[in-house]
Amino acid sequence: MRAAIATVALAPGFAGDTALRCAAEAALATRVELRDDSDGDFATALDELFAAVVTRGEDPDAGPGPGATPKA
Amino acid sequence: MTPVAKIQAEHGIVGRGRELATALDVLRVGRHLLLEGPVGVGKTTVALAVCAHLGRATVRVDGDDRYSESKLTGWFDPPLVLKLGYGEQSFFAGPLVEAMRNGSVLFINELNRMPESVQNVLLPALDERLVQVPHVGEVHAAEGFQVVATQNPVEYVATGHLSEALRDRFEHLALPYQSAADEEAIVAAATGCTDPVLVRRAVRLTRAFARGRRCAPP
Repeated sequence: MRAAIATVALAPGFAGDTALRCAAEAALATRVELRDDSDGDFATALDELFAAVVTRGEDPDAGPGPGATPKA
Repeated sequence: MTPVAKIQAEHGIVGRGRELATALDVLRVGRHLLLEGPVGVGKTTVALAVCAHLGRATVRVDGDDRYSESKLTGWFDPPLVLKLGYGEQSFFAGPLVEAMRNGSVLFINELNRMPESVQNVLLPALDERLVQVPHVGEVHAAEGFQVVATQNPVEYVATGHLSEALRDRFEHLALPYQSAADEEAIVAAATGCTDPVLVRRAVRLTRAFARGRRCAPP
């Protein structure tokens, strides 16, 4: 919840089409869980999720999550 | 207006009707309550809102792995010990003893981040309503003493297992993630944002991350 609240609070401070992307990067960066078997980085993961959830309008609750790999 | 609706209105809580009702029941019958759920689902908000609704004073502790037994029960002030000796006069009550003496609610945030030795101090306090303090003696809990604790699931960073003995003394209340609609209402209320598209996208992004949790930290 805090991450979503922070994203909405930060978004107006960024200009242009990337405002939400920038706000999400700032808000979510401190809230990503460590994962030993990860092979991606934060920016790439955010780009993938952003494309799925915002650009394509996919619902993260509808399936296992856009691009998500279930935690072992 | 039902008690749950009243708490929701007074504390700006969206949803959580079942959890609020359960927490109210547990506290009303004098039991101890353990709320468990992921980060940011409102465990502390629910706990403190229910205590406030019942008019219960709370003594708060935030758990960490360096918390000590004496920090929880109380400690002796060395200059006062030299002057007056060991006894009540030189003893400063910690949150556990303070809550027991006052008949308050001891609210422990992140109980499973505390060392096991500290958790063990709670066993007699929860069960027999007493705690032994060296040089002070037995401290008995006044009427109304209860413990409300929160914890993250054990797979979260810096958390540990509670002993079975300690879990057995609590009533357990799970707080899962809320629905997307509830989260959108919470975010809109918390930020004052009137742009529903922005709120929906932010909530979806956050839920997607919470669901995936797939990348290394930046």
